[in-house]
Amino acid sequence: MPQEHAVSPWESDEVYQLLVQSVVDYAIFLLDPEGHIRSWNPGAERLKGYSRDDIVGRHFSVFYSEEDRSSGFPDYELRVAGREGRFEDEGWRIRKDGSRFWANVVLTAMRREGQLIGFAKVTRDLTERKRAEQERERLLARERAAREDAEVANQAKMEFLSAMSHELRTPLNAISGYVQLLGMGVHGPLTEKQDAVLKRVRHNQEQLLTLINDLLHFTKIEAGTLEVRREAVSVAEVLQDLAASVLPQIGQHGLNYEADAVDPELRILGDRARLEQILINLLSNALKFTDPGGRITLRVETAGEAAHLRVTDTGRGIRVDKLPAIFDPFVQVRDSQVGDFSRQGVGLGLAISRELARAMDGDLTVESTPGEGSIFTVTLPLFPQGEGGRPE
Amino acid sequence: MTTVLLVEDDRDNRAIYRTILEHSGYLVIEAEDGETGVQLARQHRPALVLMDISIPVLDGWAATRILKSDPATAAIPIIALTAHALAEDREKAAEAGCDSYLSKPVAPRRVVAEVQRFIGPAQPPEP
Repeated sequence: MPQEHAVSPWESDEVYQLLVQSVVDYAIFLLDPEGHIRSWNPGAERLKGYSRDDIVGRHFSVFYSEEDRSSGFPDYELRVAGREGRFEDEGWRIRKDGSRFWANVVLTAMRREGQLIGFAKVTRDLTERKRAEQERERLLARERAAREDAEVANQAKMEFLSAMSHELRTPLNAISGYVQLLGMGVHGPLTEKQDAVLKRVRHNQEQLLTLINDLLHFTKIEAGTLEVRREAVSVAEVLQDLAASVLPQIGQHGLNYEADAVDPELRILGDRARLEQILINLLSNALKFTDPGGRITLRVETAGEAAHLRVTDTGRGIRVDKLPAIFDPFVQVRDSQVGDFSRQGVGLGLAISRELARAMDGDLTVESTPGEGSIFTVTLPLFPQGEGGRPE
Repeated sequence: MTTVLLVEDDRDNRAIYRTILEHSGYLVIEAEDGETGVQLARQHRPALVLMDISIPVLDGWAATRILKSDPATAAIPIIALTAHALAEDREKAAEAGCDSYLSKPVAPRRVVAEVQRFIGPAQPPEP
């Protein structure tokens, strides 16, 4: 006669009883087929606030809100669990004291020989997780709203600045036109004094125009709306154009200018107009801060995948502790030891130049020795060999 | 005398371009909108038209198209004055039939140089 498999003492009714009665993190209790509560454990007492004597015999719909009860949700749970074997839900449930908690509930049908004898109900309190989720959603929504507000505000700012700069430029351009007419002697010959005054008018008009353009430019860079082209740009051609526009000014200041002869095949990947803008900025800065008799040099080197364009001056230089700040917008380097730098503003030129270089995947850096001069280096990627692009 | 028609709604630009063109010996007639511009071009048959693009009633593109599709005025060179130096404007100018275009602001000297490129220096009045 085969010996019956011995029942382990771990599987006795008493141990099962103990198992359920020891759990405090989960509410584990029994419902009869109609939904009346027939057993209770310490977890259920902790979660729901009812003692065993309070609750056994009552219908489990007591854990639901008035709204859930009147919509018939508790009976619906029983029907589904009876039909399908189980029902799972997450939702708000009510404690004895009327407070709510966010519950995960699993209702499992218990059958003996095919006959439904009741339901096991296991409930977890997920209020903390729910709160954290709600908090996260609230923060996300707030962040989204803030970002949308910022975008709208930024858009409005850009539109305003663009309209404003147009409005500012129109009269300035008219001034420029009239001044040019006067300067050409259209309204009669000018005395030497009148001509000198007119030149100052023109100089100031141009400075104001540059400031307005820089400001608009800088705002566009800040807003990320500045477009930068990526094409093959011949460095030799850029330097040639540059020499034509900057050489006369350099000569007028009594400065010497030297530029490397550049391989006509040397091409960078970037935006020609932006590169010219950077170099004009650097050269006019060198011009401002170098005394007559000094020298401005433009050297071009290649190293690996990059071209380095170096503008060197023999000006008064910048103290090491001031160097990091010179690329900040509207910073002027003032230093009593090396003279008054404020006569002509550095303004936005260097800030813009560095942003432009970076927008072309390059950079603008500076080295300087007070009393000896400064070296500004524009680094830009070389146009990849063998792609055959032609500069415009 | 060589006549240039200036179609421009901005008072200052009109004064500046007129002054330099007259100084260079041209006779200048003016219109402040596209419709009047077309009308004056038909009436006076100028040697050249300087056409601002953003003008009222009929914009510069439309006015140019009308003049270029009319056999009586098609041969008159038209220089467009555009607000931006954009490739898009350049294409539009060519499409509308402009012979050339200048982006604003234009230096007075540059206006005269461009006008002379098409019609040469102004002819002195008949004695």
